[in-house]
Amino acid sequence: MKGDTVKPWTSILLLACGMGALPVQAAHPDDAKGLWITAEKDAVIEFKPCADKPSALCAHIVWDKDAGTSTDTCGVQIAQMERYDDAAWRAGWVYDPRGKRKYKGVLRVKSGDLFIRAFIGVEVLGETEQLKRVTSLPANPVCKS
Amino acid sequence: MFEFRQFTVLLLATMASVTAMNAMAQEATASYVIDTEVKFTTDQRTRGISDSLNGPSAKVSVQAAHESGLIALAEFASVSRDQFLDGSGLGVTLAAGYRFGDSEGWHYGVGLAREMFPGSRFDAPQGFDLNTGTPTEFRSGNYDSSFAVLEVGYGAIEGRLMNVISKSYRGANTGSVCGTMLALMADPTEGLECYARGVHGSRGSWLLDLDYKYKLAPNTTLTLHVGKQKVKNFKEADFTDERIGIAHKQWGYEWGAEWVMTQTKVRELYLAQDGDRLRKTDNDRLVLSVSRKF
Repeated sequence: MKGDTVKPWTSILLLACGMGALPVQAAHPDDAKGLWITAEKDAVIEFKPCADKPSALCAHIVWDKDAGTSTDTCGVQIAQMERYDDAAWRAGWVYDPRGKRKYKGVLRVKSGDLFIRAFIGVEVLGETEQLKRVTSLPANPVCKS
Repeated sequence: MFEFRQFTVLLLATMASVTAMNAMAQEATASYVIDTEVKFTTDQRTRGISDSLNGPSAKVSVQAAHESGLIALAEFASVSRDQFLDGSGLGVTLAAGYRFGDSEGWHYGVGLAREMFPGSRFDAPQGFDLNTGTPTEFRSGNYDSSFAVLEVGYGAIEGRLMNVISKSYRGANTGSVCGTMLALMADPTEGLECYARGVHGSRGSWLLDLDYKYKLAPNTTLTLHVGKQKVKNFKEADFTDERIGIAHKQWGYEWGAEWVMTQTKVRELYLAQDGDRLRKTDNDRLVLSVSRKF
């Protein structure tokens, strides 16, 4: 019967679920520092200690593919995290410059990528953006601010 | 007096400037969020069954979430009037609930949902007279269903269990199930046996979903799904479905491709009259989609 074919697919799903259980190196607060490019490669964000509070982590847009246009977001601060705890930067906020809204936030570095979760209330009510580390900014366009 | 006025203006201007600079940092974090998504797809599938008679469909979803954990969802999708008879061609899903837990670990949700097809109705015989060989007790029904929903997830694995609390699941009752079997199956035995079990609805049906998402790249996600549907009182209508798909975000849109597979026990229950021919709604197929959030 056609219905019997479900078992192999169930096995595939269960097997695939194991893909998330790869060994992960112990995380360190400094792992999040540096330059990170967004999933759609439309902005680079720099994470570094806040100028007015070195124990916290601040994030600013340092490259925007729309730099120099009316939607330029160069220089905008998009996150600030107050403390590092349980392998994540926490107790902070994340700002969405396009939607112009501010959310609670948490940052994690896993398998070399940075995961920014913006949420309301509790972490489960949110969305995660995955960023890749870059060592330098794209040549063009240049952020002036 | 003049100097005092100048000083006041200067002070107010300075305060305004400082306020503007700190506005973003001082701004309170959002206590709620409302997301709207518009989606176009080559086939509107619900649990592996086409609702759009294998044709293209549009769907608008509005989801609201409050920091307390309360969530609400409204979805409006175009569906086939050949499947949802006499209807407006619209499928509406309304849901409300509460989510809590750890997104990286165990998380949970409870809620209620209602699926409606405005205006859509059908007439079906609830009995069959073996002496005269004719159907009896024609009653009108609709495809609307209500559900109690329980969600349990761990990390990227999401499980959802739904129990049908309305009289029927998508109109499944003695008239629609047994009548269709008797009308469309070559051998009338199973249809008659179905009628012999008496008049029933399908309240108490169970629907189970298991989903997993795996990031292949920051903007590309692999999605896997298995679903099992157990229709109360009508095991002939039980079915399973699976999906394997890729979703890719680019230019502000999400582009999707999914291979959808459905295994029904009695395929005649998932045929739809399209003019003078019957069409399958449970066939395996590739479904493409594009969506955008606002």
